[in-house]
Amino acid sequence: MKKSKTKEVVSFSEKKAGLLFILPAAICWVLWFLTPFIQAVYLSFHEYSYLMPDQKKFIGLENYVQMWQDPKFILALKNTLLFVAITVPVMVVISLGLAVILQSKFRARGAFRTIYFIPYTVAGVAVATMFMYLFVKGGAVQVFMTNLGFKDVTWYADVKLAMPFIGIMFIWQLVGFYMIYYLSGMQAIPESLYEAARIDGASKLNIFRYITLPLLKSTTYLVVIYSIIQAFQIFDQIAAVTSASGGLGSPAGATNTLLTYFYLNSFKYYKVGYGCAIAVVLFLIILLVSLAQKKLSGSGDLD
Amino acid sequence: MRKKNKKIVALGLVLVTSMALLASCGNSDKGSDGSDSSSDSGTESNGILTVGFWGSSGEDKAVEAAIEGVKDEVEGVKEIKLEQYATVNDFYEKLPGQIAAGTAPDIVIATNEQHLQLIADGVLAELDGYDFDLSGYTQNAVEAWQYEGKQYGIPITAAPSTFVINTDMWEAAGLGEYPKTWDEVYDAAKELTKDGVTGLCIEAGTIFHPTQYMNSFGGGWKDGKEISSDENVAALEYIFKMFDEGLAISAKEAGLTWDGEVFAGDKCAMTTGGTWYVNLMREAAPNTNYTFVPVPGGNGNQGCTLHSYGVAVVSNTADVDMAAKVAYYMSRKEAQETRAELIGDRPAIEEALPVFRELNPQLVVMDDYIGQATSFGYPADQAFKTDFTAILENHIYNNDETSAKDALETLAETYVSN
Amino acid sequence: MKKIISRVLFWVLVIVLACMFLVPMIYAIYNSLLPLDKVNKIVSPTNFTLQNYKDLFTNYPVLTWLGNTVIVAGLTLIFELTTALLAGYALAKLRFPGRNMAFMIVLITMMVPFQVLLTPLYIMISKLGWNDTLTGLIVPFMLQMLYVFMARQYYLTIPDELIEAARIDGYGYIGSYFRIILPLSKSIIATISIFNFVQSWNAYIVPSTFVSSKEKFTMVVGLNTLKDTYFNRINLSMAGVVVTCVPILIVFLLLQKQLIRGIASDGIKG
Repeated sequence: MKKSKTKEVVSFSEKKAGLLFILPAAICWVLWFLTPFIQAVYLSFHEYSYLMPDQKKFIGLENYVQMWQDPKFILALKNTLLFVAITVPVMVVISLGLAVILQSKFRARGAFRTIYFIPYTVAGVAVATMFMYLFVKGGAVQVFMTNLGFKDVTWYADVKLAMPFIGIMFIWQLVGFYMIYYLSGMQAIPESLYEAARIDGASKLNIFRYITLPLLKSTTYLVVIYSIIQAFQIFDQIAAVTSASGGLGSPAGATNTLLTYFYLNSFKYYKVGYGCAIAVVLFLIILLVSLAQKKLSGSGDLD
Repeated sequence: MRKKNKKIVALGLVLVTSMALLASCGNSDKGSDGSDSSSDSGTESNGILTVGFWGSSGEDKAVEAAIEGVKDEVEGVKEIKLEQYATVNDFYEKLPGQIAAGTAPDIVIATNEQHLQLIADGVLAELDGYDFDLSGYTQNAVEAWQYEGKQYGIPITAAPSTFVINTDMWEAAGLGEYPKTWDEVYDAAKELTKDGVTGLCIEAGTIFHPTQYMNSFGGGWKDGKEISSDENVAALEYIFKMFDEGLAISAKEAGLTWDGEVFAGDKCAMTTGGTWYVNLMREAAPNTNYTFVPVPGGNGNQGCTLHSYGVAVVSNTADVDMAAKVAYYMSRKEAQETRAELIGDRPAIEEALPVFRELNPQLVVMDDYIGQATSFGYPADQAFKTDFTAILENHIYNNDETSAKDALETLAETYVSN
Repeated sequence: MKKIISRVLFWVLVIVLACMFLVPMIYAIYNSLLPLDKVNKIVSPTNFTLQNYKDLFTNYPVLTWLGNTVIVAGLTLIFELTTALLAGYALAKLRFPGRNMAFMIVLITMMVPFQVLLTPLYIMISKLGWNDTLTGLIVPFMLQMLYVFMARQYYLTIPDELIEAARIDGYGYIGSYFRIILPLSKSIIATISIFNFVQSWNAYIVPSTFVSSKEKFTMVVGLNTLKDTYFNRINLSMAGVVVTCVPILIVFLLLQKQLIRGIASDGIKG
């Protein structure tokens, strides 16, 4: 199978090497991803509960139709889209900013990098306990925020502030992750380029705009795509805050996302089929958004 | 070229060997945990049974005490393994997957709060054919584990819910007799709400506590048959009133996860609760004085819920007969007494009660009103709990103005069963 | 003057951020040193006690949990590095038929939340007899598309000339990877290692579902059993959190030097 394009003929040994190199990943993918995924999609066309594993009732697209008339689903959809639209840009900008700050050479740079990374290493439940303590009515941060004009309530108990609360937790926990990734990308930029620019008298801002940023394109591409995916798939933070009191999505569904609603249906309401259908819809939405993002920002990838 | 080939071969060998090693680890475990037997349809069993339960320190010791000596009593039992789930939520979330995978425990210890779905879906085995003698057991606990006339579990605890009052705060406010009706609670709450303390804690995050109010007003969900009855509406109106006037607080508002933390943290003076408050207060607030009284009544009625742990058999286990006999053995008087000592649960066997009464004199009052405790009666559809909680949360946290009557009637449209 | 002001501002910013990020650790450490009835209250340091740590290690098999977590995290890391680095390189530098589609698959796979796969996967591994074993926690997780993606992005930044040079020297495609590229991959290996380590270490849902015996729990799953049936023992939990965090931070401190070095100074001159 030789590609006979006008310019180059790819050698057989290169193709062989390529296929060999992706073989381990491909095997794992088929076994541990494709198989369960196909099962989940299959279940989405049925009425099914794991408690009665032998009873599957085929109902075609009924799950998919029913969800659009389900007010809880619509609310979850709205919450999810809003959440992604707001947290992703904030996350990308802040983590890039942090990376820039910690890129410049100064003593104790390593210590600060560790400190900024700590939030990512702390288990979700501890972070939730901490944040709830700070944002309860009378808590240190809550009081500060009230002075800034926010309503004087316990944030995660208020229908309008609960999701922003989750958002703050989410961003706080993950900026360290993306910052490290940006830092590792910045390492690939040769020092010589910066030297040359400085000799030419370029300002710091221009260096950033014309050298750093373009050379970070492949890094930024991953950060944007992955933060979109992560934001769509947020779950642990919500579970940590709400499952103890009020259940997933409390208060009154304000923190329900498509994924938490999937979880409720599959694991609490014993409606596995409906849950899987919701998950499939979530996946399709992420796919659509990613494709749209790719179109908007060109190929996004520089070789 | 040779070097390249060697490297690939070496890499391949390493991967293959490690996978083989791991695979063999897996297979040897397959033999020893015996869980395979539960996916058979009952023809053979290797005498190893697994008991699943949730809870932590104390709970596992109580279960160990319950299974002691079982090999002598029940024929064919070689070993009993314990499987502990971290919380009740873990149990109900993991069990379906385990049943589908064939790895579920053979015997489970659960409560009568969420067991209806398991029974209705055929997950628990019927225990009628063995003529177990349940005459010495608290009768409404035995009934709590029945469904459509058949027995699905053997109760090992039976306790009504209770009303807990912080006596330090009560006496400091100069109040006299403890309240017997919700109106009296309302009046008392007015006196007690001050200095950062709210009179009454109504935990809106779980359906357990509001249900106490429904039952005490003479209502209740009645397995989903009555959702918007007048009694339930009256109870919900009372709950709304308490929150509207600032006399009630929920755990979330207090920045905590449940009513116990609110009470132990001195953020409220009164709350509905249960036997678990004894251990909680001993550890979290040893210097606070408090007392238990029967759940107050509403509109001339009285009532509360009966909470009962029971031992049940999973129906697709290999040897149902053997498991059933083990379950009955685990519910014996000595086991219930040990449980009362280790955890503070109230036994379901009349003869075991003296031990409990001795250990918890303040809970002796439960004997008086356990007769009026009824089952939780939640509708089978679990989504009901989410929607009901949403009603409360909308009212408390979102200043929703829907009346109690309208809210319950909307709920009834979706969930009432006939 | 300008320089001094900007220096000061810089330092203020850095330190304020550091405080924001450090607060949870301080909270966790603080509460882990208090008895249950003093938790969440501000008390004088005379109340501090190591009792929680003692209780933790004597009443619970914490060392077993730590050991399990190390085994699972370590073995998964080795496998994941293998699959991710090889596949990532192939996607970046080797032109093989179906490469574009393969990359699409990588992206699309990342979009499926793993909770969806949880129960079907559990049923699958139970059929293999791997439920309640550490094997079940390792083998299904030998591939993470995120790391394949990361590796690909990293290898894209390596100039093609390097590979050309290796091939001119007589190495095949496979050889040039192992001889030339792999030694230059320290940065991405360190990055993947840190992220994967944290993820394995803090994982809850999968180990909790796949494993049911106490002796086989990993750290976070084990810590979850610290809760009494009815309530949270915050002080013990926080002690557990601190114990969990320490190894991660040690690993990070060791590896972050690799991130600093990178290939910037390794002579990639055209």
